[in-house]
Amino acid sequence: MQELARAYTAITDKELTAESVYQLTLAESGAVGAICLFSGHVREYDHHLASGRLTQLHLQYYAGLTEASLNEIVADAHHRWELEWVSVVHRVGTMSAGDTIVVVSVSALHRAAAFDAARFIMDQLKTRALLWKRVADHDEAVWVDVKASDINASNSW
Amino acid sequence: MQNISLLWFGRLSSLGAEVGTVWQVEGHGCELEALLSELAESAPQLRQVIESEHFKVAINDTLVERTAWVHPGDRVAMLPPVTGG
Repeated sequence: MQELARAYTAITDKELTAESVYQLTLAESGAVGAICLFSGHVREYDHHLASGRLTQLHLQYYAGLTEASLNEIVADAHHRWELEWVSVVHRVGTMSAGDTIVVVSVSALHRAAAFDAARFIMDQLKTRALLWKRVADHDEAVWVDVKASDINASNSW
Repeated sequence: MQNISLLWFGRLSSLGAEVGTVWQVEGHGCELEALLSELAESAPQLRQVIESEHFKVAINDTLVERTAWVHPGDRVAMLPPVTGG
């Protein structure tokens, strides 16, 4: 697997908080001018389900390769911008509405790089990270399809 | 004939269940493209995913092109378009 400098990436099946990832980024960043933090959450409304109301989300991953795919995205971000530190933690396994599913935290000397890199990483995660979502309610479970808007966002960089 | 293992991910976990996790190839193996065609022929419900632009395959935990060679004993993972983030 690709070794990463000035970054931390992880997959976890435990509860995830933005605060813990932010604190790690802060501790590793020194006297930077900007930290951009993004957290993604499990939405209750889900149009894949007839009821429209998700009760459970399962995120499948491929041990080893999923971590490698996160590292590749973070390495690309480091190549594109001058970043001090990047943290990406993605939850896998079974989650409920409201749970934190992913946290991206980027530090840089100036805010533009931190904002842009955080958005780049999220856009790339949607199409390059080896993860598969399955949403469920009490009546059905559905594998989620990749969205054209996510592919467009990823290709826009 | 020799066995290879098949791993199914995402929506293929359901669609590939009918095919199972063991597939037989000739003793010298075969090109991945040929294996994918065989699988799509055997289980037509797989064809749309296998032929989609963002479908990927890993052999023994390494992402490969469709020209890769599948050897007996290999573990072939079928990876439909991803939906993380």
